Amino acid sequence: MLVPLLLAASLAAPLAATPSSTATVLANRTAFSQPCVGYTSTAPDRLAAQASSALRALGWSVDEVVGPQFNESEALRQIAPVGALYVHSHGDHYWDAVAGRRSSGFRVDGGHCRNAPTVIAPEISTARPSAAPLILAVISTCHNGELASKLPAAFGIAMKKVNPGALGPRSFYLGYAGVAWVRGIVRFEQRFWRALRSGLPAGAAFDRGLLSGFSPADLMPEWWGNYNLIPAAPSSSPTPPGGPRYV
Amino acid sequence: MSSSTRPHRLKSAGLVLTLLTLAACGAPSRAIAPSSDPGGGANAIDAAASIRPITAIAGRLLEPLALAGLTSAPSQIITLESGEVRIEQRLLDSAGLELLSVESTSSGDLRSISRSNVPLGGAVISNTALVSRAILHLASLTLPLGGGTPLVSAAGDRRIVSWGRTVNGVAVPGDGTRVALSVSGALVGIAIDEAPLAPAPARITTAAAAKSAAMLLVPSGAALSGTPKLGWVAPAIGAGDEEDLSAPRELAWRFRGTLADGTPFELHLAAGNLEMLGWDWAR
Repeated sequence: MLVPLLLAASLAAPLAATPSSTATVLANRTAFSQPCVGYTSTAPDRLAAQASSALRALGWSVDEVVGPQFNESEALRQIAPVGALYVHSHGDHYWDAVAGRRSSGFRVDGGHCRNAPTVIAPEISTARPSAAPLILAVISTCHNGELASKLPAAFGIAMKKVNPGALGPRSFYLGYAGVAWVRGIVRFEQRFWRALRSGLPAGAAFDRGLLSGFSPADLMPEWWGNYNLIPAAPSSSPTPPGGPRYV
Repeated sequence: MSSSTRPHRLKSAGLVLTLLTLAACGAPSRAIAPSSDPGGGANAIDAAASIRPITAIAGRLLEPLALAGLTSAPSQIITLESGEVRIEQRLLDSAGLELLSVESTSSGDLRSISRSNVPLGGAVISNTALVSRAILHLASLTLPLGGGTPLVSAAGDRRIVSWGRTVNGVAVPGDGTRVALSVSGALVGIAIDEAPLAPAPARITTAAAAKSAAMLLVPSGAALSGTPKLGWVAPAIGAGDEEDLSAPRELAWRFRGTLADGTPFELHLAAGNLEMLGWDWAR
């Protein structure tokens, strides 16, 4: 009796999308560097490099796009199939002309000093119509860690927190609420990635980031998803506990 | 990324050898099952550096029932992004997952305690109660209390009670004691950071002179706001926006302002000679 029921259910249900083992790291360099501003900025390259390095250590096949090549079409092309994503850029709740209301997203580089084109949540949803939810999304911008942000939903991640030890989705989203200062971002993410590389679950890595010495006035990290998630690529074996801690 | 800024296992045989040579006091007692460590190197490292055993710390932090079946992993020497060398001890559950991590300096000072799997939510307690809990946690571990009034902030369903470090009344941003707690006051982690300071300049320029120098450096359309403050800051790589955490903190005038598009920024000028040390800005 049970077998036919299960068979019927499996036939009726749409095929679940398989999570991808590719990850993309996108970083805006132009808007943060000379000659667009008067000063040197090496932080975007540093942030992208440490994200790429950590994702590779977790078994992801990483594409890194830093600088002017990070434009609107390339960003959407990259984001469409991936299972993990890192973005460092300006972020906000930008105007969605199609919907006639604000949505959330980030600016691309594209070689623009200011007012660069944006990538917003509805565009991401359109680019990923049947993709599995992202396993890991780190949106290293202002404002996209706020409850108002539409990005988690565009990545298929519910804005809920799953407690340690509880069952939950295989997803984790990290963002910053309000204005995020770059020195605080670098400190927090350094600690977050180091903890992930050592085999800790994403929620515990977030907790480690909180001890990293950023000023609370300059950075307010936030997360949603599953505390217990070890965000290894689906195709890889997770780092064995007690295995290599710093690769 | 330069290799010097990556955390990694210390390969320096010299330091390990020195620590092993000094290990004459025997291994610390372990109430919780020690992992097998045939070489005895980890225990020797702990003993040599007068490291407080993680089992003793766990006994103060965890419920007695939660201690059953835990295993202490061999200690290891790690180098942080700042170049600081620390000794890391870890306590693992039966599945091999890390429940507690403790980092100490090579001279035995406890610098970081991190717990995993601390439940989210619970009964929310007031900021005053959070500060009391943070003080109790520090006291129970005989860690020094921070000076001055602590700041309580929220991030990701956690609360952080932090005491900033000041030297002669001047702040050292990023340094101090921070205690991360659940909203109900359970300990999530403790970090104590104290970076080395460069010698103070013989003469400190006036705020007015510093402001004049800063005005020459800000980009077109940018504006400074408020009164500059002195601070011990990390000089940036290439006087840019990336802190060189391996360098001693330098005394600087800190200015805040906005770029032409309204983006907030901060500028750091050396307090002695007004050389530009770096900057910070919002995304």
